[in-house]
Order: sequence, then structure tokens, then C-alpha cells
Amino acid sequence: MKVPYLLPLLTCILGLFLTATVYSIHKGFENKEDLQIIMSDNKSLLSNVKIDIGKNILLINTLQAFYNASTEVSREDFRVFSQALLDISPSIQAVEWVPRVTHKDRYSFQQKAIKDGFHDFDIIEPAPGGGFMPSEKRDVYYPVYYVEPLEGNEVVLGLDPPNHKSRIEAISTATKTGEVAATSPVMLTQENKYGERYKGILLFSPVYYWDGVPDSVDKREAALNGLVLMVLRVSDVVKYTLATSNIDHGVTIIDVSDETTDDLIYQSAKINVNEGLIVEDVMDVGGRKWKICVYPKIVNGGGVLGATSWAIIFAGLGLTAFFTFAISQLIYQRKIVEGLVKDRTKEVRELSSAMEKTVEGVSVINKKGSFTYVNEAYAALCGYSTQELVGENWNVTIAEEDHPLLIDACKQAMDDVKAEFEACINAKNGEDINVRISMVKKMDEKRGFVGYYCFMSDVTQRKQAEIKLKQANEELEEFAYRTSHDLRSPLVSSIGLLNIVKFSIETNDYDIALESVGHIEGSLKSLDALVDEILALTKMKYSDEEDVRVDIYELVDDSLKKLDHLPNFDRLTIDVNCTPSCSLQVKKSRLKLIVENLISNAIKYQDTSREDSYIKISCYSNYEGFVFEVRDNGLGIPEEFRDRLFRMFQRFHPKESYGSGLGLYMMKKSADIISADLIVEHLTQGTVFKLIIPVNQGEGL
Amino acid sequence: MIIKRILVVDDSEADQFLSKYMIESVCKEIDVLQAYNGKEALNLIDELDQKPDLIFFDINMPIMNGLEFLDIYTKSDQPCSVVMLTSSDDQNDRDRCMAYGCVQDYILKPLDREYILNIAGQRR
Repeated sequence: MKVPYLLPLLTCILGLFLTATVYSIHKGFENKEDLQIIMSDNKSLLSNVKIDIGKNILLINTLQAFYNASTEVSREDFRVFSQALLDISPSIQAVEWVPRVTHKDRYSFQQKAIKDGFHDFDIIEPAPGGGFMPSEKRDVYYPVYYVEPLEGNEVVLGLDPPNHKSRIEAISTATKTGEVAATSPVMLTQENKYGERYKGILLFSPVYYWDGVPDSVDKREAALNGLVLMVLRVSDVVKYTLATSNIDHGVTIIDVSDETTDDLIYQSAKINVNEGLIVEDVMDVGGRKWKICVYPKIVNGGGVLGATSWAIIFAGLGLTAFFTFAISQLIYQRKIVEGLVKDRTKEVRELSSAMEKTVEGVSVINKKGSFTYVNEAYAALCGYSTQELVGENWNVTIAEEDHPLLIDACKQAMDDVKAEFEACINAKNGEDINVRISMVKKMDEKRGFVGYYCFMSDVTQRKQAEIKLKQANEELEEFAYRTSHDLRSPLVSSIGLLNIVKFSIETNDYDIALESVGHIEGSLKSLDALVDEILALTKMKYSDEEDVRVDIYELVDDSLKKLDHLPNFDRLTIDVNCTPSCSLQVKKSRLKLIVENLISNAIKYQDTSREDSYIKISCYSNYEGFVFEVRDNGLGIPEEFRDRLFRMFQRFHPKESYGSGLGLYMMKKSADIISADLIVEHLTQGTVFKLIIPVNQGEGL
Repeated sequence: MIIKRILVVDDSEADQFLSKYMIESVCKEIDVLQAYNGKEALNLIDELDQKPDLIFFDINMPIMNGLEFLDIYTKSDQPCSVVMLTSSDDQNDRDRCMAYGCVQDYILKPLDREYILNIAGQRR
């Protein structure tokens, strides 16, 4: 099955495959480089995060050192020092002083705070129904006594949550170890300036009454003055690190101190990469173990697409689309062209077939005058085969005397595009054929002259008809001319002679009168004979007669009886050699006219100077057909007049007979009508006329 | 110049008789010769020692007609005057005949007495 658009489909698939392949190869190289960069950035960022967390822890140590170096830290001292710390690290939510207060000192601490301006100060704890309430009686309290900045942190002043397990543990650990201790991540009570609450950690650092850290746990618990507390927003620490390091990677910090559960402290972006792309480390923060993970923000672990990758994808898809479209268009155009070619081929075949079959000769001639194409009709007209003519110069088919016409026509066609002329062609068999030739200038697509189209039609029949028509017209003109002359002439003569008769009678010259009357009689007889023949001729031309069976012997016999009154008939020896059974299917009046005139002429133009004048009438058959022959030894026809024998008004022996000169003409016309041939043989003495009727008409001989 | 001999060339016996009668009725001294076609006329002229002074010539004749005769006769030495005497009133015939230098006139049959008198008078 033919799939017209299989190629574009394959091109599209191949293009996508190549694009994917190139992309994959490129991506392989790119990933390798990216991996190195990513890992380097991961490590760098991890290191920076750790440093920044460490810096913040150092700040609480600074505050602890401040307490250790001071005999007593007033609220104002704390504010000033803390403000310096807050200015260093914006990630610090609050810096606080949490003194160790026994129950018996609770009141004095309260009074002191009131004295500092906090009139509602009391040691408080979260109330069960929400809000805060004064702390219930305990042996020791760890209330927030100083807090900076105060603004936003007022709520925690005096707060000592008894159920805050992580806080209690951190205080305990810091007291016992003498080192900074951190809580597990807690949701901060304070809100930031946007009203959001973050997870943070509380870092506690112990301050002892002693100079330095006591050397045992008991001593440290006994000597504990209080703890400096730093509330650290871990998220802000990491954001600061990310902002300052210009590495846009994800960071996740998890408190993994508790082996059973991981407590998420901070996560800047979800981890969507392979483990191989993650750099992690565990950091000790105030006695807690924080796992810090740094990783790139790459979906599906493939990394971010680079410009080159995009270029490859776009270029690949673009080229695929282009080639697919181009090939589709080519196929579409090809189909259109194929359709057009198919239609045109069909038209050309039909035209070619028509051209081959047309009765008109068609040929194509190049600049040099040689045939490049000849159809069958053209070749047939010239008597050649098409193969014989192709390559031949076309003047071989035109009669040499018509070559000037040919040259003129070529010139005219060059000037006027088309030319027509009539010429005679020499057929291969020597036959001359009259043709009408139309020449059309042939031009190529650049309108340059390349030859001629030649259309040729046989006009021989028309030419012959024209010749016959011309002859008929000439005959008609001659007939009219001679008729008018020959009719008028005897009348004019008779009128003149009658005047002589009249004058002669008046002068009693009767001899002249009688002679004149004799001439008048002769003239009128001549006129009468002429009128008869003209009528006979007219009758012959216009009558439409059927063929009938004619007995030749009877016809000859009747004619002889009809003509026996002619002068000198009796002195002739007439020999008739026609059998009584000899008959023809023919137009009787035509045959009768011919037979009577042939016998009549033989009688009229006998040679009266000789004794043995004869007429021999015979009929027989030969290969040409039926022959009726009249042979005589009469005057014959002078040689110089033989070429006009069958023309009108020809009289060759005027002294011997008063013929109209139409007899032989009428015989010839009658012979033509019955498709017979009338020929004459001139003998040394006399003449032989033969009427040859074709065999198919001589049936029943 | 006195006309002493006239040749009448016509294939019609009646016209020959008529023309001869008319000429002789005007002047009996004129010798009238006759020929029945151009060929006979040429032969006769050739045979005569005394050539005719005038020829009356018909146009339509068998054997050799008037125009065929003129073609030959006009080329002969000192051809005499020819008057075409014919029953053809065709202008073409008239023009063709009058184109020959020896043709003096073109008249229609029958030949009348006045014409002969006129010619005879002029000649005298």
C-alpha cells in the first residue's frame, strides 16, 4: 500500500531521534561539568552555613563573657550590649537574661523589675486556656528578666514555661556543662515584623557567680547565677548565608539529636535531587546535632537546562519541523505537478492521437527546413512513410517550380506568424498533388524562432473542380458568344439578301433574285440546324436519364435509316459488324447521339474523289471494356486542328458540309456522362473513332 | 489610290454572294476575289501577282479565323488595308482587331452600298 506521507513521518521521527541523541550526548558532557560545579557550590555553601551558625553561637559566648566580666549587669547595660549583638546579627530574634531565681527571691526580683519600669512584671507561665498567668510556686524559676529588643518581645518578659521540656533540658545541660546548650527547634512565641512565626532555637549559656566555670557539676549547679539566652531564627541565618554566597541551592537543616525522630529546623527548598548531588554534614550546635544538607534545585535530578541544551532542542525541533514541512510540501507540490503532468500528458496524447488520425497533414519543420515530425496523413499525401520523411528537407516534397512560393511563405510566416499558399507536391510515386499549405511560425518558450508548423490538405479535387468550372465557364462564354454570332449571322445575311431579292424583282433581274433566295434558304437551314443542335445540347446537359438496355445492332440500323437521305449516302460501302444480341445497360439517348453523329460525320466528310469510300461499323469487347468503332477512309482531320477536335463550334471542312461545329463537342460530353471514353485515331486516309465503355457497364454483351 | 481588287473572306456562301453583289453594284470594275477562311486567303494572296487593295474579312471562320489571319498577315510585306466585316458586335473583338495596324475599320454585316461608295469615293 502506498503511504503518501510516510517520508515526512519518517523524517519527523528521525529528526526527533537525532535531536534527542544530540541532546543526550551534550547533556552527558554538560552534566559532568555541572556536577563538579554543583558539588563545589554545595560544599562552599555548606561551609558558609556552618560558619554563619558558628558566628551566632560565638555572639552568645560574647554576651556570657560580658556577664562574667561584670559585677552586676543592669537592664540598661544589657540593652546597650545586646543592641550591639543585634546589630551584628539580624538573625537573632532576641537576646535575653534568664536569672536563676529561687522562690524566696521571687518577690525581690519582681520589685526590682517594677523599679525598672515594668509595673506588671511577674514570673509567668502559659495558662491552660491560653494567655499567661503568674507561675505557680516552684523552688527555682528561670524567668526572662531582660529581653532585647523589647519591642515585639514584651510578651516573653517574666516567662518561665514549666512544661517546656526542651527549654528545661537546655538550661540543665548548660548549667551542668558550663557550655552553650541549645533547645530542640521550637515554634517561637514572638512574631516577626510581618506577623509570621518561625521555628527557632534557644541557646543558653550559663553565667556563674564564680570567676570562670566551676570544675564540677555540683559546684556549677550551686554557683549558677543565670543564663544568657539567644533566640536564633535559623531560617534567617541560612537566608543570610545564601544571599551573601550567591549560590542558589537548597538548604535543609534537621535536628538529628533524637535518634528516633528527625526534627526539621529549616528547609529552603524541597530535596528533588539524587543523593549524589547532596552534600551534608552534622554540626554540633549547643550540644545538639544538626544535619545540614546542601543540594541544587534541580527537578528530577537532571540539573537545570543550559542555553546550549535549549539551543539543541530548539534547533533540533526547528530543523525537524522545517524538513518535515518542506518534504510534505515537496510531496504535495509533486502530487500537484504529477496531476498536471498527467492531465497534460492525457491532453497531449489525445491531441497527438487526433493529429495522427486527422485527415489533414501535419508536420513540424526545424530552422534548417528538415522535418522533425510528420503525421501519417502528411506522409501519406506525399507517398512516403513518416520514418522516411523525418530528417529530410521538406522541399523534397514540394514541386521545384513552387519552391519560390515556399520561400515567400517562409518569409511571410516569419513576419506575420502565419502564411498560406497553394502548391503542387511531388509524391514519391511521381503523382502531382495540389495541396493547400498553412505555415505557422514555431517559437520556443523564450519566443525565439525554432521552425514552423506545417498543415497541409489535399485540394486536388477542388483544383480539378475549379479547372472544370473554369472550362465550363469558358465553354459557356464561348457558347454564348458563338451562339449569338451564329444565330445572328444567317439572319443578318437573310435580311441583306431579301433587299437584293426585292431590288432584283423591281429591276426584273430574276436570276439574281432566285440566287439570293437560294442563299436565304441555305442560311435559314443552317440556322435551323444550329437551333436544333443547341436545343439538343441543352437537353443533354439538363436531362436526368435512367439506364436502359439498348440493342446496339438496332441502334446502328435505325441511325443508318435516319441518315440515308444525306448527300452521297448511296456511294458509300457501309459494313456493320454488330451481332443482333449485342446489348448494353446504358443511357440510351447519350449512346444514340454518339452513334448517330459518328455515322453522320463519316457520311458527310467522305472523300468523294475516290471510288471505294466506305464506313466500317463494329462493336467488340477487349480488356478496356465494350468498344463501338466507326472506321472510314474519308477526308480525315487536318493535323493542325486535331487538338481542338472536341471543342465547340469547330468545323474543319466548311465547304463540304454546313455543320454547326457542335457535333463532336456533344459526343464528347455524352461520352463523359456515360463514363465512356471517346478516342480518335488518325489514319493516312480516313479516321477511326472508338467509344470505349467500361466493362461494368457492358454487361450482357 | 483606286481600288481595283477586293478580297472577301467569309465562310458563309450567302455572305460571300451578298458582299460581292454589293461591291459590283457600286463599281463593276472592281475585281472581287473570294476565300472561305484565313488559310485560303493567305494562300490566295501569296499566289496573286496583283495583290488586293482592300480585304473584307469576317472573324468567325473554321480552319483559320480572322484574328489568326491578322497575326500572320500583319507581318507580311506591305499588307493592304483590312476592313473587318462581321456579325459580332462584341467590343473585345472590335478592340482586338483594331489593334492591328492594317485593320482600317470594323463594321457589322450586311455590307451596305453607302459604305462601299464612301470607300470608293475616298480612294478616288
